[in-house]
Amino acid sequence: MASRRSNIQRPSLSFNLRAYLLIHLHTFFASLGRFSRAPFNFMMTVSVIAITLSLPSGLLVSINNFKSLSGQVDLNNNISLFLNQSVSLEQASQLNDSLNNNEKIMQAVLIDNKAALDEFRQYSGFGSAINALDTNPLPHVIQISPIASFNNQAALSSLVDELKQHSDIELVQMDMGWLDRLNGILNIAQRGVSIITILLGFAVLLIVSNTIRLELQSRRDEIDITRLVGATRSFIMRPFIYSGFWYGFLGGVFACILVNLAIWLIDGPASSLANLYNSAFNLAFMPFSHAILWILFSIFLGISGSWIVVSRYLTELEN
Amino acid sequence: MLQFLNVSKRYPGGADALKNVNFELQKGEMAFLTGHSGAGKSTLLKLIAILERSTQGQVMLDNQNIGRLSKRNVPYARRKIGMIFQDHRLLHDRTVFDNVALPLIIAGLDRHEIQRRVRAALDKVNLLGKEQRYPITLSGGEQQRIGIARAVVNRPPMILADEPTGNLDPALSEEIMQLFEQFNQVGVTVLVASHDIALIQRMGYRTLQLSKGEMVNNHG
Repeated sequence: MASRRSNIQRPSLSFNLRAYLLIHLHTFFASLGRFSRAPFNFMMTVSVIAITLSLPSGLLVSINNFKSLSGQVDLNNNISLFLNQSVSLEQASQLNDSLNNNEKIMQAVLIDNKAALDEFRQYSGFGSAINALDTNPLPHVIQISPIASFNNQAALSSLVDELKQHSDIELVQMDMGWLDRLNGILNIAQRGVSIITILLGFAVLLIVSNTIRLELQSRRDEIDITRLVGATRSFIMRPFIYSGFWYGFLGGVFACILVNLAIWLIDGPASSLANLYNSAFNLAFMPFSHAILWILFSIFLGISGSWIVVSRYLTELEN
Repeated sequence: MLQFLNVSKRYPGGADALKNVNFELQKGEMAFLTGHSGAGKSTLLKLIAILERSTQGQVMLDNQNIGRLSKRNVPYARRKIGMIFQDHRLLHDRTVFDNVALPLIIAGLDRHEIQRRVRAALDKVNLLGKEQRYPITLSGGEQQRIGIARAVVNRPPMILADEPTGNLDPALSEEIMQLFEQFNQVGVTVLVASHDIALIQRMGYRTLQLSKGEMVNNHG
């Protein structure tokens, strides 16, 4: 019994390491060489992976863009005071000064109805309709930002109630509501993207598995022969694992390229739209760190998909 | 070198491929294995190559019960055997050189050593100068010699050949057999499965005969 193990001629460790690296290097380039012989099939699989992964990564970039948009719009605690139509600009200005002196208010800005109408005429596209109006339908508006300590709902509500008492003020509107709702929607969307990522991650795993399975079938002879001349399990698996790596790596890279290309295409119209809202908003490209993570994720899927299929296949062959 | 002790092999479904087979090959011995198709020749060779495991008994290779080897150790045990097949089993998308180098690449030898040994093996089988050809461009006899070069390139202590001359004409068969004799003369244990009785008798080596899974003659 004791002789059973000693009889096996395993190479020494130092020899092993050098040979190991050599074999890896060899297989690494051999797998690329194989693809170069069937570039169409290879690129087809890579494209499917890239398109599949571009959906969740693209959605994530969109959500991040929306988030930065909602962050940019610094309306978080802002309150708009719509004054009565009868209030003159002078009165409005006095009110604005008194609000600026209020210790609870950090800043109050008066938007007079004439300036607001001009702005509206310029950007809304209703210029001629507005010109037809006899009177300015817009009231004066004062926008106030409470001091920083007024960042909770209760404090803000009491301030709003206080402002509502004022006879010149017709409507007090807090801009927090829509922002909360937008953030709520974005949170749901983010959860949705997580689910889509998991589902499409599985899809990529299956795509790679299926491609590797076909490759296994076409190289069945080669596997049999290498087994017969003493190839270890890992030696046989290695080229397929590398195939999986290349599928994942290139699929991930192309997915990132696709997403950024799409952003680049949308950015032009998006900034003109943002201009209409007086915002200098620009779409952000996928951050480099995210791209790296997506590529790593894709590599992980490629290697796993390949590993699952090949190890199953070899286990069936072994006795 | 090789020893079968009460070896039986029953395939799932109940067919007995080998029944209580006993024989021994000494180190450096050369022998033939004969028998009709279905007599169990292939099964016997598969047990040595650990492509199958015996249902009963022990297959000893180099004092090691290879029927009980763990899966992890099977590849290393296979490297002690150079195997040759009737259909050559070459990789047709690789050059002669790459085919012969395969066992050395698997063993992890460096480029220089691989080149040296491949050339030596091709020299032995008279194929030097055809390293960069593809197997398909060579004749049947030459392809078989590639297979032989691949089997001996790793200098295994034992060569196992399954009907190596099955597709060759008598002159080429003779040539192949002479190659085996040459390897045997330098100390390699050789077992050749064949049903070319005339050739076997002319060569005059020990003959193991299988019939319906039983070893009916193991002396020759």
